[in-house]
Amino acid sequence: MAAKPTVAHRGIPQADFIDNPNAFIAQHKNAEEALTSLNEQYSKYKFMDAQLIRQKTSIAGRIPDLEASLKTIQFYQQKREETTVNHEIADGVYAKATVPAVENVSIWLGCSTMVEYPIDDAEALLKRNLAGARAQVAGLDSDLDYLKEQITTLEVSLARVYNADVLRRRQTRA
Amino acid sequence: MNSSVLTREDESNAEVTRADQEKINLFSRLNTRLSGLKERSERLEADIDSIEQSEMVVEEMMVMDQDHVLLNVGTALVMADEDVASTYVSTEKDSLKAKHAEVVAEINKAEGEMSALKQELYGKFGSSINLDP
Repeated sequence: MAAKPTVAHRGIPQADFIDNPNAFIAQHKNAEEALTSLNEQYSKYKFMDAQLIRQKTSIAGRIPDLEASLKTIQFYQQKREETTVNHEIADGVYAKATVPAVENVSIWLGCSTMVEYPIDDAEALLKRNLAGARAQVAGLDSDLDYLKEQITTLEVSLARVYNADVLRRRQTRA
Repeated sequence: MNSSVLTREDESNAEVTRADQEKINLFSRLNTRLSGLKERSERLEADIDSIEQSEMVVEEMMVMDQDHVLLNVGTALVMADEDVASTYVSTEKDSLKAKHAEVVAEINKAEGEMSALKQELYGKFGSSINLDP
C-alpha cells in the first residue's frame, strides 16, 4: 500500500492540506464561513463516496455468479465423457439427467439473449468477463481509497480550523 | 466525527504538518483495508470448515461401500465416484487454505504498520487524536 498520496483521480478533486488554519480563516469572512465552506466540500465527498460504493456493490455482486459458472464449465471441460447429473428443475426439486460429453454450452448474455458456444470458447468468454468485473472493482477500490484520503484530510482540517478559532477567541478574551 | 472535550492540560499544541496528515490518511486506509481482510478471512474459514466436512463424507464412502456421491457444481448435482470426488474436494481445500494463508499474512502486515503509526501519532498528539474507535 503506497505511503504517498495518489495522484488526482478521474473526477475526484483533491482536498488541499491547510498549512496554516489562521491564514485559511483570514481568506474567508470569518471562522464560521471558513467552516461552512469546508463542510460543503465534506458533504460533496461523502455523496461521491456513497455513489461509488453503490457502483462497486452492483458490479461485485456479479462476480460470485461468474465464478460459479466458470467452475461449472471447467468441470465439464475436464470430464469429456458422459455424466449423470441431478439438475435443479424447481426450488429444491432435482431430476436425473444424462449429459453426453459437453461440446457446446449456452451462455445467457442478458436482454433475453442466449448464445451457444463451443465449451472452450465459453470458458474463455467467462474468464474475460470475470477479469473485466474484477478490474472494474479494483478501479473503484482505488477511487474509494483516494476519496477516503480526501475525506480524512477534510475532517482533520475541520477540526484544526475549529480549534484555531477557539484558541483565538480565548486569546482575545484573555 | 466524534468530538470529546479535552481539559486544558490534555490539549496538544502540536501543529499538524503535511507529513502528519499523510500518516493519518495512511492509518485510515489501512484500517479500512483491515476490515475488508478480516471479513474475507472469516468467509474463507467458514468455507474451509465446509470443505473439511465434505472430505469426511467422501472418506466415509470407502467405509460405506458407496459408489458415488453428488458433487455440487454450479446449480447441478453431479454424480462422481470416489476418485473424482476426493480429487475435487482436496484441490478445493488446498486452494482455500492457500488463499486464507495469504489473507492472514496481509492482516498481520497491516496490523504491524498500523501499530507503528499509532505509536508515532499518539507520541506527537497524545489524547488530541483517537485511533482506537
